[in-house]
Amino acid sequence: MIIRFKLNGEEKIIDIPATKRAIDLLRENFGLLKNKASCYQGACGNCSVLIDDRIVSSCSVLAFDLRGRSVVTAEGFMKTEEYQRINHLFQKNQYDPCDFCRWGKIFAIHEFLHSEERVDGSALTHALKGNQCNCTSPTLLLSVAEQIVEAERKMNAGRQHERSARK
Amino acid sequence: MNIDSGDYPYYVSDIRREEMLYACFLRSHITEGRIQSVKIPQLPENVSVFSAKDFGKKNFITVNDMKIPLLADKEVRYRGEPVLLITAPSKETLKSVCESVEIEYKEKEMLESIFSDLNGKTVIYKTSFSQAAGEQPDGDPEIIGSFNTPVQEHFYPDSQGVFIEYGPSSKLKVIVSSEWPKHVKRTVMHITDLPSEKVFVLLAKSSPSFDGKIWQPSVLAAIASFASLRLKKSVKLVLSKKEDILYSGKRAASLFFIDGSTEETLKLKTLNFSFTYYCGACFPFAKEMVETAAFGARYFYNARSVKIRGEACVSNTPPTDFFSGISLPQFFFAAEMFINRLAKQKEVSPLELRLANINHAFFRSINYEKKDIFPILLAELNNRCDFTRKHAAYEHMRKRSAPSFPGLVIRGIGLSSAFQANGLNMHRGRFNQAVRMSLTPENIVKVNVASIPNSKRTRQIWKESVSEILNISPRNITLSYSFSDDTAANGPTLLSGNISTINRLIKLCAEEIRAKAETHGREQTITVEKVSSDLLSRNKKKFLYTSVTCAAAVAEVSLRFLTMELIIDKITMILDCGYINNEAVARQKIENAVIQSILWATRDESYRNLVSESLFCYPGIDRIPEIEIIFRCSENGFEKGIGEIAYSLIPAALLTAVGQAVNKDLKEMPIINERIFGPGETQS
Repeated sequence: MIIRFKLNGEEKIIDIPATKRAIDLLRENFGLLKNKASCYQGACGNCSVLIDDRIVSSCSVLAFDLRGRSVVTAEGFMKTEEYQRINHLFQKNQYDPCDFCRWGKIFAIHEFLHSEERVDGSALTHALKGNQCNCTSPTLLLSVAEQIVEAERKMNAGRQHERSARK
Repeated sequence: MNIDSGDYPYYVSDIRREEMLYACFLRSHITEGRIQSVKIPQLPENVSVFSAKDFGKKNFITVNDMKIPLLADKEVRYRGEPVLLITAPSKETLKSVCESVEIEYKEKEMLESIFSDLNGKTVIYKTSFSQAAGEQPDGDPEIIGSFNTPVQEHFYPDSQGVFIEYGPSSKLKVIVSSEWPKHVKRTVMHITDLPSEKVFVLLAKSSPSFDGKIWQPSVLAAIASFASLRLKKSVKLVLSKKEDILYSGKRAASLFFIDGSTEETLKLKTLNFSFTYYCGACFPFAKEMVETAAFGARYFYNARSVKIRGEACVSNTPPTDFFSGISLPQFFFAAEMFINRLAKQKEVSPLELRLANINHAFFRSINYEKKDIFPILLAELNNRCDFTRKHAAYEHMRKRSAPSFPGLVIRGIGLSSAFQANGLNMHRGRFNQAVRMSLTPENIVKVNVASIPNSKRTRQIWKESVSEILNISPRNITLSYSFSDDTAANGPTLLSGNISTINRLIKLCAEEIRAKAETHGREQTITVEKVSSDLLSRNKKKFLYTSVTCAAAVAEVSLRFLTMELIIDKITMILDCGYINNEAVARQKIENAVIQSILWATRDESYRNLVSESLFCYPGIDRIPEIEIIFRCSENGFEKGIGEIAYSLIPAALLTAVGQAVNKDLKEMPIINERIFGPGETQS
């Protein structure tokens, strides 16, 4: 089965078996190893990628379901400024999640940032609950995520204010 | 010995090479029996099957003088024991070949009851101890308790595995996640007959919480190396998540019988321990396990007469491995449940009973301290959690109302205390942790550590310690992690106190080098070596351990009868772990251990539950209770270790809290709904 989709901003065309999972496609065919599969049940959140800017467990998606969509993996997201800002706050708080859950957590924060949810503990907890690795402190994760969301929203509000002032 | 224990930048599962072979095990589906026949169909090209016969007389690895078979030969001893190794050029071919191979077994007859199993058990190590020799306990024991714990599996995201890269002139590069790379190398050399210079061991990245798998990476490496050498190709052997959870090494299950009596002053008069650890098919460290539990039984509580009978036996379950705390978590679960039960019977506060009986002299002596640490810890914990008031209030409620009203939320609170032992020195020299340090005239420091650091942060901590004492930039300090063959001290890191024990040794070495440099100058290279038994030299009693961390915890729970829900509201833990190198990291490590121990205490033996494989994961962040960790640093200021104390503390506190809420005498883990809400032994 031949599919065409966008991977980290680039058009890709590939012939794949119908039963191949998206995570295997990304890792085996494209050598994108930063996203890792762990439970293969869609439960742990370690294989999370962004499909059309929504966080999805790529072990639970068949590769052919990617046709016509835009996929962003860890490798692609690392190039964004948003990642740099998130990573900066991770480091500042000495929050260093493992290579397995790191991207699931970052993508969950990214999705929350672009949602309309208010920043409160329970909404953030809900947003982050899909990631079940516990290599680091859950309390610290919540606190860092709160800081990131606050900072990003403040920055966005500032930009909007600037834009409206220019107009 | 050429071991590059630096950072191999990949996990084993990430490694891929041209023309490599995938390998997997075909495992026994019966518990015990004889292999009658193996039918292998016509194999596709490049597919091979290996059995015990291929390994011949070398079908074993040696760990701590025990021979452990690689593949089952004639007989299988547990469900999941590897019988065949299959290699194929693709995962798909491997899967189809595995499905087509047939193994016939003759199963052993089922035992009639658990008691016949107990009678036929094979004891592999025994110990006994009696403090008041010849003295019989006065009168009957006031209270008798039996407590048991199930096996435990750690939840880590990456399965165990090994990648063998076959190189020119039969050189093997063994890429493996292991805490004992020297042993991996030795076993590969034993199986393949290759000389040392042809076997290179590289430590792959290992996922967080990868712990307690001391000797199993050696088994995987030995088998895969053998196949690689035979087939002259690179081989990747990675366990599936299910295999890893079900069949790799576990924390041993245990059964404890404790009885005791007290004097009028609440002081313990007699304390008798009788315990068995079930090691599964094998466990090469049974002696260490039983002696560690006996150590806990002997020193934690102070009774006039203490008697201990302990043993380890094999059973038809997957093998045991060396988990955090070795056997202390099982011991403390039983001992703390017993003390809580005794307090209930005597109608005194569990806190008061502990203060009266904890062996303060032991803690002063082993940690070289003047103050009694437990009264300080318990008093602060009591203030922080309002333990005494809440405990009395919930006890009052328990006596007044039966928890039968639907929708009722009932609360419970439980206390436990424990110590964590660091720097096991049982084999004086054999498994010692060690450090060799040299300072060159060019101001370059080389540090060789026998243990393997578990994170970049650990390496940083070690370098910082040297840098601070010798006033040398961390850039001029190099760390390597293995001693040469002639050094007895070559790991494994039998206790996860490696950060603290090694750091203490590093500081000792650096201080000695500084002193020598001041006296003799720095014109020549100064070399110093320290082993962990050096930390004991001031200790007249020669305890098994170099130091102990002291801690206490309170668990608060609510039970919702309408929805049959157990909610763990809060875990508060206070600990004296000595000097803390990095509080943020320490806090994260302890929280992780708290959650792992909650899983051990509450999950329905999830490693066996194939209905929902999502149980192989941690709970989501929304299901994690509030965890408060309070550090108290004692006067001596050296590191005592932080990693594993939660395993010893949390289960007993949790079960006591649930038992109080539900008014039941819970004595076994895991605390599943049937045990909490179903009919059971109600307390009077």
